[in-house]
Amino acid sequence: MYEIEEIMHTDVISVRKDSSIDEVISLLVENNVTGLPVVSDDMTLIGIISEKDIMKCLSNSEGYKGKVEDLMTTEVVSFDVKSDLIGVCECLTKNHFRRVPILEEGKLVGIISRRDLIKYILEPIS
Amino acid sequence: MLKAKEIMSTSVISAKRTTEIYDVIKLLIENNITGVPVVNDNMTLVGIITEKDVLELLYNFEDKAQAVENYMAKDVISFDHEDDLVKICDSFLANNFRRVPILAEGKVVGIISRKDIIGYISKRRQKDKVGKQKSSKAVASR
Repeated sequence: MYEIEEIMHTDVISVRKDSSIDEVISLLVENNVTGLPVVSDDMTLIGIISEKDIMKCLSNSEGYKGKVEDLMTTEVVSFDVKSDLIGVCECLTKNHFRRVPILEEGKLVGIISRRDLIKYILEPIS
Repeated sequence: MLKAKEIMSTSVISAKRTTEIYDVIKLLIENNITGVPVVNDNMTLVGIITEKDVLELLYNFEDKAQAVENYMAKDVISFDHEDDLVKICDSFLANNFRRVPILAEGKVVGIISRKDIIGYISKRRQKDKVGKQKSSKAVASR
């Protein structure tokens, strides 16, 4: 088992590029997560949509009629499941985002957030 | 115009400068939050500590446990409880942080996260929708 596999979450909540923004908002609020990967039918990663992306459309009082693809970020930093965990740590320390999708043969298989890493910090002392 | 005090959470979880860093990690995990304000005994704001600051420990976890003040950010953007929500939204769009402490007379009285704003607006929209449906039904039944 690769190191990344031990830490990543595999029960990933994801959305499609044609999902509605209302659906994304409900998923973020109900699951208390800050962002969701956007995938195609075969689980290929095509983007990520975060709270910040959603905030851009909140000023429209009638609700936003567009789809995920209009607001998502397509330049996503992701890691292969076989990569070194230290690379993931460095990435989440240096950048402002708090989660990275984990891919296996190009398909989404998991996600690692800063939360997952700090839980790992506590392990040696608990 | 909606004000900060109308949507802020008032049950603020905070830390002191001298709180041990591992206790902060536990606070973050147990409460499922991404950061906490650091305050003095009289609730004046002295900093903020987030998951990102804590990640520093990954590189020196063998060091003896240290106090929050060695890891926290001291330049914190905060707002007054009478401030407009629009001003706070603009700040969230211009910056990368996801929560701001809310002050009254210089003391921390609440916190607003991106999630609070998104949740509030989606709830209000649903209410509006139901309201509209009800009023259109009322018209139809006349």
